[in-house]
Amino acid sequence: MSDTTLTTWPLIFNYRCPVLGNGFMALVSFKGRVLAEQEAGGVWLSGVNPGGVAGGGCDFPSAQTELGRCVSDVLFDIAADVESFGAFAHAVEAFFRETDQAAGALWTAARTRVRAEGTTGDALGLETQYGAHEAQFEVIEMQVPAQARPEQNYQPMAALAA
Amino acid sequence: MSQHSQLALELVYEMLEHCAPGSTWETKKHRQWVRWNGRTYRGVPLGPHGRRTRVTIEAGHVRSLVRDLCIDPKCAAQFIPMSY
Repeated sequence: MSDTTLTTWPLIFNYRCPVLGNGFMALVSFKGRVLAEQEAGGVWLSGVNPGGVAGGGCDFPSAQTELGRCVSDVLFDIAADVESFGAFAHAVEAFFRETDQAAGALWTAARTRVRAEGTTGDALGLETQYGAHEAQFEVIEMQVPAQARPEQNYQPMAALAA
Repeated sequence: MSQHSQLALELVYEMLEHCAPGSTWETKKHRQWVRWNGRTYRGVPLGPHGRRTRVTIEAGHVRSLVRDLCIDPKCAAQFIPMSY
């Protein structure tokens, strides 16, 4: 059995999702690193921060959708396991901090290549984000509807990390 | 092997038994979680139509799982030959 040729890409994944738990409602947001591995006819995305999640598809948009679904599923499973917002926030932070070191090393190597070659996200149909790409993470308890804002709504989005 | 190739789950169980002894496999409501080495891979889908048991898994998930749990890739390749 031989592998198909894979091209790796460093992505930034912006994610936000409301999560209903046992007596609480939370809004989870993060900006994480994702390793993309592209082959003929498909793309596979593996989380670096958070690690332990992945999703694939025939192209970047479908793979991004699958990864977002995977992350949401994990958050829903965490919510089902805990009885309070505090426990949920603690468990989600542990999930987010669990870095996939091997995927992270490949991500860093891919970013070095992208920067050296001056590649932009246009080649992949993605936006390009420049910068240090520090991982960011936030869990907010939504206590009253008055806290909600329409700008808190957005679909998960991936961009090339340059 | 394509990342979307379907692998028999029995192969993965065999690989884990030898390369990640003591690993556990827990079925949650939405995903299956595999724990080993103080780490958790939470991404294994339940299967078509939410079935609690599935007989195959995408090769991409196996690659991600091996990396994330820090399983020796040479050991994993003995059971499921692909680059990790």
